[in-house]
Amino acid sequence: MNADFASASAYLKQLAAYVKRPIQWAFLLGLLKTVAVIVQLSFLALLAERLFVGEYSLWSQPMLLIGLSLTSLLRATLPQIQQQFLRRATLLASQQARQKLADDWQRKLLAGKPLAAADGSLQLEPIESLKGYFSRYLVQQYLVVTSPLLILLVCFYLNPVVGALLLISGPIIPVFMALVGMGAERLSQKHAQQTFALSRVFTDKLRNLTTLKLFGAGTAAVNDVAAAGEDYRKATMSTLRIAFLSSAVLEFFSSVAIAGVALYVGFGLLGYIDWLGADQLTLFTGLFVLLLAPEYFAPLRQFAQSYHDRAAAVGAATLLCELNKDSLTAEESSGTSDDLRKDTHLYAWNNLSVTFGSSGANKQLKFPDSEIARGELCVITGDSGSGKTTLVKVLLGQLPFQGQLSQPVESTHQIAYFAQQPFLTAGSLRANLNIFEHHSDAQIFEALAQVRLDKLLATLPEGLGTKLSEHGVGLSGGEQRRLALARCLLSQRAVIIADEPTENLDEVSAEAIRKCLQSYAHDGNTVIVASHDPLLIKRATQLIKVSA
Amino acid sequence: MNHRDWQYLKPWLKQLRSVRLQIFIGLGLATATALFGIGLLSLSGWFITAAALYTAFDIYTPGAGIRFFAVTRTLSRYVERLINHDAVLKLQARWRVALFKRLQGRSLASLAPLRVADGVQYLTRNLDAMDNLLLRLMAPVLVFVLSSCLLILFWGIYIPSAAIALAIAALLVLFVSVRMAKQTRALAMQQLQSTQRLRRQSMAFTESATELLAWGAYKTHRQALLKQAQRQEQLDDKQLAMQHKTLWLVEIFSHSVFLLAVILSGFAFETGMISSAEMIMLVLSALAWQEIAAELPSQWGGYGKTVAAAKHLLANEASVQKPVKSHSSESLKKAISLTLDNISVKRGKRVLIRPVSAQFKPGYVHWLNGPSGLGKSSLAEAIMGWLPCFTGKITLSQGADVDNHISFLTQRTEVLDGSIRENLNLSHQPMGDEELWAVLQLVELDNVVRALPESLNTLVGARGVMLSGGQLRRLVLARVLLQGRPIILLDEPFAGLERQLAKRMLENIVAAYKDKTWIIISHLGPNELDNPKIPQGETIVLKPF
Repeated sequence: MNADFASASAYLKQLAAYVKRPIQWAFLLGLLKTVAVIVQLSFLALLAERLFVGEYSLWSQPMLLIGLSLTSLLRATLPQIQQQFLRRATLLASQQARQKLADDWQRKLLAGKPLAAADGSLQLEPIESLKGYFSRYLVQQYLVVTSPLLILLVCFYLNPVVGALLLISGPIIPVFMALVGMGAERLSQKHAQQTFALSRVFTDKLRNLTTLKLFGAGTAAVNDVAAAGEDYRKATMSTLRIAFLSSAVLEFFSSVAIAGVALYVGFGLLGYIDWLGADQLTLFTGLFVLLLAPEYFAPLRQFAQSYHDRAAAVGAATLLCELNKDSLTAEESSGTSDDLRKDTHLYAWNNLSVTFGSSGANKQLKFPDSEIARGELCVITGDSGSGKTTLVKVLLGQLPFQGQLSQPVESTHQIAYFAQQPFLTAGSLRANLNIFEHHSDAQIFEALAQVRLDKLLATLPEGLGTKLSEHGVGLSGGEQRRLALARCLLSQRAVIIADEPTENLDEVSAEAIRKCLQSYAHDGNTVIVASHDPLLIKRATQLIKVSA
Repeated sequence: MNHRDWQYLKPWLKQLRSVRLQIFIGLGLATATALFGIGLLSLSGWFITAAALYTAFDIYTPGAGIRFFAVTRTLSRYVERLINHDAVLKLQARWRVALFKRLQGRSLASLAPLRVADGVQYLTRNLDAMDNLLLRLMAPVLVFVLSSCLLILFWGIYIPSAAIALAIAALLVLFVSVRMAKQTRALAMQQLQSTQRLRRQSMAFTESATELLAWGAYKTHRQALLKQAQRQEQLDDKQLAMQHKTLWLVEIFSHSVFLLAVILSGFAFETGMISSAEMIMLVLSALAWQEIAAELPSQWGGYGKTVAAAKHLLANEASVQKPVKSHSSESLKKAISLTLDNISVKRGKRVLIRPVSAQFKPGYVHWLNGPSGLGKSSLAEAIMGWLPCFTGKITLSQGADVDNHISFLTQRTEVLDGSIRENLNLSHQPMGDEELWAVLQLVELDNVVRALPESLNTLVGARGVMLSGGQLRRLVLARVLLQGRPIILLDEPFAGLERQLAKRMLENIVAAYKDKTWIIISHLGPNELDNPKIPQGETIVLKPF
């Protein structure tokens, strides 16, 4: 838990380094605003003194009126400019966070750890939750010290008693809030559980609405939802009572401090008290310190709010860091990529092995030394769990290995990969075929004919424009696999690497796929297939047997 | 607020009536808090000025007033927040129940998208966005209007011209805030779409990442993803910029009121209309009013999102079905046959199977066979009336209706968070344990359940014990049998079961439930199950179109 917190904080600091400049500007503008406020209020107090005590007329003070107008304009405008810098900082920081996330994903993949679709949502809510840290917390954490300090200095200069009063009530507030906050933390954990419980009940009922309807269980379910809502309300209210208490404490102290300043100044002016400079108070100093008192508390109040932003950001950063932690523990490939090839050999390896698990109790998979030449239909075979897919991953460069392996130079754009569960997106057939590379419709028709999907295509009124639902729904498993094969054929890449292409398929589809792979190899390309399909093994020109 | 928005928000606002007293008190206290804040600052200013100028006055009353404002402001704020948040939570609970009831009223066919977790999340998130309605949209505007009115009246007693200036400024503040709200509404729709697009794109990216990397397409897709993210960020930024600009205008207005108050009350003081202390009091109340005015644009920035959420939630209302009449238990005991006449089914734009005709008779087991991915489940859904038939007609004998006479085992095993007992008896019918045990025995789960620590009360589902896929399949089959309807339609009932067990189970249940019309949709036929001893009806092999 502590380590998570530390890495999350480090992550946030790392991002904050990118936005140093705009944050500095925002801080400077925040300070300037405080100065503008101090000057504005001093002009107002001075005007009152001139009018009431000096008995000048209003028009005899044009400089004061102009000064008041100018400082008012600054007071209204400076925060606007400050917000522009903060917005820029937020944009920069979230952009960095997104790029970092994409890089981490890549690192994780290369370490042999696949991603799930759900990982994709990290680009949404967690990044969103980071924003408050940059748009509010970062600059507030400096302003919460400097702005009250400036005001405090002015107050001390004007009247030490007022200064002392503010100085005492200032730091007391965080102490009280911390005390109340500790209780709130425990409660908010309970609250988080309740929130989860509520959403679980609600989600459970929504997801199974079909069943509930089929069994006429509507009323019972509504009662459950209502009861869960009531529990949630009670739990939330007990959390809120504490949370509001902490802000009430803050408000109470600021109200009392303002009232205390007013009463002290008032009684001092009336001559009821005369200690510690109370007898030297004038209307100017009295009014001025009274006006400054609320401004003294304003940054404290804002900081209390932005503290929640920080908590949210740390929570999100923990999620984002988890990914990092995973990939860092993965071992780097210790194998070498020496060139073992005799001219036509595309792939060759010696003493190739892969180690699973952390050092200590680890399991090692060894692969027999092999060379794969151009034009081969090479089938990697073995019992289930023997490491066929593992070898495929190594050849794809997505798993660290030990030993020597030589691959085609510039392998990135030479491999067409045929995954066991080919990725199909919600979109047209055409879009699905063009995911990795773009091809013309004429080429696509030709490839679909090769994989025997032309008949199906003819029955579709919208042809290549036919929309598939997510995960290829609308096509049978065999059709999906053949579509993915068409993708490989279209690419005309030198190597096809396929993982169990005929597993769980109807015979028509399986045979179509076997034939295509065979003829692709026959055309002088290399086809490497992990499979235990006996009919495919029969057609292999090279066989690599792996065993655990 | 324009007419259309009103349409979207009205159903939600209607619910406010149920907690109106609470809302009334809450908003009253919120206004009081604002006024106490103004009072504290202006009375303190009055007191100090009066004290400095040795004006003759009773010093204890204002002193007590200041203390009173200081304490009551804190107190009223605390109580106000509790009351208002409690009201919001009550409303939220009501909305949740109302939404749930509305979804239940929908036809089963239109519920399909909800099965995806995404859809559920989307609904709950929209419901959460409705929280803003009371606290962030209604409360600030009411507090602002009420406290501005009172302050205008108060100023009117002393300087009518300043009161008019304040009134104009208050109207301007309202105007720019409403204008901003309108702008955010158009933007919110874009934001919603953009976020959805980003979610889809990002999830597709991570799902296909292995392939992207192998194909060397990772980089370009990564760039496209980041570009979409940037588009979304720009929209968010635009909304913030709008909000900040409005806030700036409001600040300019309120500072102008403050400057006008200085000048106008300065003149009034010189002409002897008001005293010096009263002048300070008015000027300081103008300063305090600023804070209340600034609340409006900061809170109303979320207007667009709330309206968008309200609209989306209401969109679910479109296809409300009439509630199904339940029949007396008498009609459920009847034996009913089902006829398919030249039925074919379309999914999307694709015709799935060749037309089928069949008669399913009581007391017999009928089979609909075919390879996976053919569209067998679509045929089942067509029989249930969830999917329209492309051609043909489905009829039940004796004019019976589908909703009350067919028990349907869906292909997807749906197990709810709850005990085994609850899962067997979802509608909380009066049902004895013997009945449950008898059915569990038929599906050979009785020994499994007996061995569980809490027997029938053991929790299953997401947070309960892990039963295997085959065990869960038999559990939901037991639930279907307990419904006791005359026609029993089973979609892949043997998924995850060994064939020996499937055969035994089938023989048991058919023997135990006489006169039922059995329809089994499966890629397994009676031959694959080693010809179980049951009254065999027709076996139909489905063919692709």
